[in-house]
Amino acid sequence: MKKNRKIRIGIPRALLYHQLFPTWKAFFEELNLEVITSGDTTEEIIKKGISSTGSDFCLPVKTFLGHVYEIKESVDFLFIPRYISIEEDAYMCPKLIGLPDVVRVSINPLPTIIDAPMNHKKGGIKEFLEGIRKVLKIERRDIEKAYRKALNSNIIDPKISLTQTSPLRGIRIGLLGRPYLLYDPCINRSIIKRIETLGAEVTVNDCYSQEEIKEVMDLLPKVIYWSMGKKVVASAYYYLRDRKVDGIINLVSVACGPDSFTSEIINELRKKMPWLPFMTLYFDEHTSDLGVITRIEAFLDMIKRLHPDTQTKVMKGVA
Amino acid sequence: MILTVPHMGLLDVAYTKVLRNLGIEMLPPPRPNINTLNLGVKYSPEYACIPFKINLGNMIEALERGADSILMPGGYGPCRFGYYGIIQEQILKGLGYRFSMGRTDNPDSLRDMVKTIMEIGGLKDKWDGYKVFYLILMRMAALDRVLRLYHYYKPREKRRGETDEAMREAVGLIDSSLTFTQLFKKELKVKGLFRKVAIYSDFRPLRIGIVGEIFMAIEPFANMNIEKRLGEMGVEVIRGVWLSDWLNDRFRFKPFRRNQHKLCTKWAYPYLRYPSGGESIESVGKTIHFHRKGINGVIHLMPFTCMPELVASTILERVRKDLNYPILSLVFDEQMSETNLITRLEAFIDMIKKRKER
Repeated sequence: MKKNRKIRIGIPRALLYHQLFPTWKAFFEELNLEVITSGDTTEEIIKKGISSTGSDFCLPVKTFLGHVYEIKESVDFLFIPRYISIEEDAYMCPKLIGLPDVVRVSINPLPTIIDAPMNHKKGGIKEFLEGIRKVLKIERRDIEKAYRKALNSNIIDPKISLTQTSPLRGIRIGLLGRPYLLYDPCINRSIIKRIETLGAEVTVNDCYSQEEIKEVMDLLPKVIYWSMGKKVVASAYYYLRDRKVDGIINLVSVACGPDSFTSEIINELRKKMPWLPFMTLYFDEHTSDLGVITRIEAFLDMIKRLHPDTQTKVMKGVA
Repeated sequence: MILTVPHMGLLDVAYTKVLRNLGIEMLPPPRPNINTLNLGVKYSPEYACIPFKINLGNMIEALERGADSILMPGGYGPCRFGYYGIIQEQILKGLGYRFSMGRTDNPDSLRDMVKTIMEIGGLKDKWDGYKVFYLILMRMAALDRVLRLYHYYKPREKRRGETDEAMREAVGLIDSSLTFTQLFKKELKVKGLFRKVAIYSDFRPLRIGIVGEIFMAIEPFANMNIEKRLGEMGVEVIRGVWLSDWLNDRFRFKPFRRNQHKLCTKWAYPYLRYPSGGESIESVGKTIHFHRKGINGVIHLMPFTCMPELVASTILERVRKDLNYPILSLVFDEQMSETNLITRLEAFIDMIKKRKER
């Protein structure tokens, strides 16, 4: 009875989805499997996520659990890979490392979880593919071929579509933050759209290559060993050094472990390059739209006073 | 150079005298107290964990007293601990203190640890470095054995406080031994010290395991003296995390002790399939192990916003349901009050007692 339809792989639309989904999709479609994702994050999903775990996880992880609820009935396998370390000398956050187990203990019943470990230090990509292969029971040759094809597939970076929609040139705001915070409008209360409707242009941090990140890490007393935290600090450095933006907004989720430290490092960078206005916004399930709007407006007003010449441009944009 | 190292349980007893013997001027900060915590909280990032704050407070206190060098362990884990030193240095420099900070960025490597000791001690010979390092390790192991005796005698003592007295003397004995032979001889006396404590030998106390983040488990100030408190309530503490185990997993100086990390990975497998940094796997693994050994309950200690232990505590919630086993997760931050702790401990112990009667 099952023969007539493809096996369905479910990928929740949260956390690493925002970075890696195109590759994953290409990979599974090459294997002739159907990929199913959950819809955009809604209040409902967040509510479900919060109610399924009682502990103090950050909002993105709770959202992830909500997304799992959303799709668990309609798929045969859930793809929640265990990304331990994806590059040398760098780890993911411990919450992401333990994510498959957290999902397994918090939600019941569940389809089989594909939790292949990706550890750069031990096994690397080989172990990762082997883990997937064991669960799906497919030929080794096929899976390696699919992986190679997926790597070559065009990765569409969401940041491109974001920066091009800005209405007109005026004040430029550089956003800092982890991809799962920046690209999920429900978690960040659609901050990008809000800044743009207020007439400012938005740049997002994911614009730097590995070499550029490494360059910044060499300036620090010690390499930052969180893959995502690294990127945030590197972008902060380039924003401050190049001064192409007029202000920086740092998005952090409440109780984010790595960001509590990377924010300190960014503060230190700002002491050396103290010329840009900077604001940190914390996000959790209690963050309200109005709170975010008020703070953005105040921030933009401050920048307008600092740069009277941009004021006219922005005023036009609003009108 | 006046060297200081922030406190962590009894670790300072293990190295202070040995390093002093090498001619290093040591200035241990005062034992963590409420003043330490207040200082730490004042200058730390809001969402940093409690060990970070206590460490920072300790450093400030030591610098105020005249220390000019700090040694801070580090690492490259997914846990924040590896980055403590950097952030603390930034904060302290920002406060205007002048000092140099040494970090052991690779605590898993024996060679690096010995190198650090040779550098700060000014040792020329490599073997001297190894000898000093292993002496420190052995002293740490001896101290942990003293603590085990303490856990055994504390709930059984007839006159309150006698065990603490014996403990103090035993720690003093170990502290005064500066060679391997001395250490061996003096450790033989330790048992005698505890035998002098009058105990109710036929008393069968409840046994409660303690697991969790290592700093919280071994630093009495951070966990509000939970071991002593439990002892006074007539509960024998079975601790799951030991500093000497942690060291032994890396440096293999106890030939008859198995690698606890590997064991825990095996025990925890049905629930947590991969260590997610910190002591997460130890917390889950030891809890399951304690359940099998028939220990009456487990208390899990974690600092607020600790990432690895958060994963562990979520998983322990399920373990509790599956095994029908009493597990109490205690989250500590600067807001935690003594009354809160006592109430929860009492309720937990009462609950276990009721379960036993059934």
